[in-house]
Amino acid sequence: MKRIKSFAACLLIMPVALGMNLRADPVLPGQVDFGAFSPPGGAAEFVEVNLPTSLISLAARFVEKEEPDVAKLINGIKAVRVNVVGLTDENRSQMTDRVKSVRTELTSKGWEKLATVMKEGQDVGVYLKMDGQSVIQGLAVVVIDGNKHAVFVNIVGDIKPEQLTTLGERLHIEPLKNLVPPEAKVEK
Amino acid sequence: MNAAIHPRRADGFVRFLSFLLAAGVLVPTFLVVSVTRYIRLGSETAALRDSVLAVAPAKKRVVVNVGGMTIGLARIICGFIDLPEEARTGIGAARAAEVGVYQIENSIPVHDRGVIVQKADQAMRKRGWERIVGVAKDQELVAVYIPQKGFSEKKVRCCVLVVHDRELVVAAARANASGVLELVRKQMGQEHPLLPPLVANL
Repeated sequence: MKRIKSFAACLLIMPVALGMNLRADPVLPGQVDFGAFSPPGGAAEFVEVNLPTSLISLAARFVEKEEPDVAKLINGIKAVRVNVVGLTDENRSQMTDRVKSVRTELTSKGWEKLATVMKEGQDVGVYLKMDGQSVIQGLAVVVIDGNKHAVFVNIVGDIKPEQLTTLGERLHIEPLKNLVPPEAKVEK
Repeated sequence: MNAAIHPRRADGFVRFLSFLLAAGVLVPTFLVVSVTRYIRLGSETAALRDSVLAVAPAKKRVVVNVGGMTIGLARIICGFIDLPEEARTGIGAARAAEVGVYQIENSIPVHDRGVIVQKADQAMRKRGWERIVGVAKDQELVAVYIPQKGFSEKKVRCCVLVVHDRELVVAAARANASGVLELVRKQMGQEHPLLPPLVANL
């Protein structure tokens, strides 16, 4: 009877345990939880890109022969998340608050603010999560572009500081293209 | 005077009858299932369609589902035809494809786009798929899903949902990307195909 009871208990617990295991997505170092976004009303645009490791590895295979350095860089990336949310009268203040709270959270969690650019209504913040001095574990770009849109970018992986510019060029992240890597900054 | 039927002969007759019955039931069933599969969507694609239909009713216009057997046959036939390299590679890579086109009865209100995405995400997550792309602008909505597990160069699978004004398109494809990869490598320029200029205007 005891055996039957414990077997039944196992049967009951197993799916719950398995379900929990499936749902518990491991948070990678350098990963930022921007929260969920949903398309705004009106004609405002909404773009969400969430590239997992499997897809990034496949992308690396495309360039590994012609550009092995780029393939190596892409292979080091574990996840890419991009959110572009168009601003409307309904969501403007909410998005502005979200940008502020993400920035505050990043700073409080030890992310290094690499650059802040305020130009023509654009407010760009670039943050890095460093593992020691040599490796970047995560990169976050948070932008509020006047009345147009809010942008959240998070790149997770092992990135070398000198690869940041290449990464900006490859992923078309404008603020990263002209960035001075942290090491170079220190040297200066 | 009734001659007793030999038990072995009776057994044989029963077996023959069962075979006939089985053939009479199984063959037509197989044929019906095979034929209807061409005009029915798979589970994931149907779930995507239903997430839109829950918000906006739509009428079916076209549904085509081409499975592995048909594509395999096409591959064999293509072996005897002189085709451009791209077409041959494409057919060689494809494993299965399905597409459904529907006419939405009334335009979807813009604030319902979020509901559609939410419902589609839920339905696909249940099946072990995750959304990698979501784009919404004006009357257009695009969502692309890939499986959370088992995605590799040799086993590329994806599902796509497109709403364009009053038109709904759901599609899914399964392919072995190895050949395509080689072809793309040959023809690729400097830009990376999978990472578009999403934040180019920052």
